[in-house]
Amino acid sequence: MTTPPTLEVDRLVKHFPIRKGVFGRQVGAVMAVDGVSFTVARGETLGLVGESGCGKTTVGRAVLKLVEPTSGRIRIGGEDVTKLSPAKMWPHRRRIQTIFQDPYSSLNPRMSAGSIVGEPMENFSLASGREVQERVARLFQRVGLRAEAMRKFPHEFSGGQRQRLGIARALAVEPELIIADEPVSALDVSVQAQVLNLLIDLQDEYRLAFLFISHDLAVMRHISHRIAVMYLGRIVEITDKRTLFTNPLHPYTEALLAAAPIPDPTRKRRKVILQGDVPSPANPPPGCRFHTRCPHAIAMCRTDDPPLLEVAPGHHVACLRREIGAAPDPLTPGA
Amino acid sequence: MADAAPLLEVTDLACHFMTLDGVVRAVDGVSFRIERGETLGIVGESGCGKSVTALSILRLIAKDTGRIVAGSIVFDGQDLTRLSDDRIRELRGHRIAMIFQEPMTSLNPVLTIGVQIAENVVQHMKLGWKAAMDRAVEMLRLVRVPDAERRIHDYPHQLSGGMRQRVMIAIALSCDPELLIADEPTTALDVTIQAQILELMIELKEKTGAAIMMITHDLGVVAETTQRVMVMYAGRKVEEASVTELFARPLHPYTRGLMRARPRLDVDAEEAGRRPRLQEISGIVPALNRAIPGCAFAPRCGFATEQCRGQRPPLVAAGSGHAVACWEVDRVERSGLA
Repeated sequence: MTTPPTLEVDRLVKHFPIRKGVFGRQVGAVMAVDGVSFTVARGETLGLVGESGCGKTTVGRAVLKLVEPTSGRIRIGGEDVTKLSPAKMWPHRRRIQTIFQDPYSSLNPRMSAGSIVGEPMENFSLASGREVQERVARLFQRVGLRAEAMRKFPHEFSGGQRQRLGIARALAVEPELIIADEPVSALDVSVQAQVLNLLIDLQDEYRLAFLFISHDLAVMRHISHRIAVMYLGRIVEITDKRTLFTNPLHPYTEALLAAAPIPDPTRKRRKVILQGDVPSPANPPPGCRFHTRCPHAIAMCRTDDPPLLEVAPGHHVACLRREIGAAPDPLTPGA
Repeated sequence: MADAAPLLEVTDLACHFMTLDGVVRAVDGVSFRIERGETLGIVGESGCGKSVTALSILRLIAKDTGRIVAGSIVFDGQDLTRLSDDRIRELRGHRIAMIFQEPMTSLNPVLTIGVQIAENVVQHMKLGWKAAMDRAVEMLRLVRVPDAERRIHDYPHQLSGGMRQRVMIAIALSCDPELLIADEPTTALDVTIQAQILELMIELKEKTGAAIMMITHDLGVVAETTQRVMVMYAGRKVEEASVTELFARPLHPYTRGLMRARPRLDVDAEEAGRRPRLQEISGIVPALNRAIPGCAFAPRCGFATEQCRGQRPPLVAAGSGHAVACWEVDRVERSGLA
């Protein structure tokens, strides 16, 4: 008997309609997410990486049911929650929690820190009265906040402390899955390290599943077990992090890795291999969506949509050159 | 030219802001120089005073809240802190230009980008509008905006973030500045676009010979673009060295902490599936509305002694153009490298 993964996303599609005129006639759609599938197991971190507009945030919001998917399935612990009504969804809400990017705007400024963390416990009837206080105090201690801080208000905390508060709130209802959308991007480097360490400790302690959304490759490499690279609404490559960083197979993954600045002045700067901008998701190019910027594109890439294929155990790539067996090729020397 | 005076020499600069919570010492006695054609990196985290230093040079600190309370800023022989508003306006956008982090909010949304480049040229180079528009096309070509003749008629909202930052650079370089101040120029951009813009800046610097003051929190950007680096913490300069020296031999505990706190992309240290702990810098930056008698980093520093907490460490030479403000630098260095 195998236990189902904590999260299973199956061919998820989310198109946002573009409307025009007085009657709101639909004239097009932004294909924010266009057929994305992945799983996250208990105790695992799946990193979702990509540039602005690639759809990574929409995936997170769809899993949280903050946006209604156009099609596709979302299963939490094997249970299909895609079509559940708000009332039926209620018990599942406890199982999925989120940590936001901006610790400044995601905490109610009029609530004390203690009630911010305690309220979800009462909402889900996990505790009441004195027990709430005790649980909140324990959580505060666990995330590195003083118990006295329960009486303070959000504006009295620093950015890093506010993010700890956000983490405590997410943990308050004992979730199975945490969606973290750029949780350290707004923080200074020295504080980032504190929060990343805390997240890793908490994950190991509670065997949480993390869907970790970020544009920051160094952070991704540090925190993820597996990483999915998104481009214009699609996953172009997904594999364990070591393979991704040592043997990337999709040209976009390669370009992303090459573009990140490396803090080592003795290293020779590599040539920028990616020119131009990301095309609009309202009008994605036909064929492979990356072909307009791909340095290795061949004629077929302009017409044929590459499927995501497993090229090695657990390593999936959507690139026609891989599929037709153009390798060994100049994509990755020594690959 | 080797013995000539530096292009910019800042001495004991202090810039304070008067707030309801008291006097905030945003820049608290900072000195540095930039030679002609050199790129100086200024690194530090939010609130360290790096942007306020830049704004002080251009005298862009809002008068009703903040003020340069001490120090001098000598640019090519003249002290900018003593210039009249008219004279400083002649320098801004002409001999000293600046690029900001947000290309979305620093362009005027109701003017075409051609007009925005040309107005700077008309203002400072005393050209007519027709010649200035030609210059605008030339500048857009220089920053590699495709289809420049047509693009000068576009409004900012018609451009992507990367293209807008190219336009900002075109405006900044339109009057051949001697000093370009870039405040987090790529922070708001995606990583592949960031790589393009950094590449462009390096190339244009070689072409124009302008000195660059590169303000960033990203040590990767520093390593790839600068020649010399100064590290700031809580309004003070804590270390300065050439970029290779700083990365090979960081001396200040804060610099070392910064380098170790950031996960590395280029080092394959981890076993598959294992995640090593990052080295944290514990605690948070001090509030700047109270005088800090000792070293500002002392409360977060593992090497701190009574002296560190009580007396401000002076910036002392540490060999090969390296300077550091730390009482315990010998102990720090003996403790070994990162």
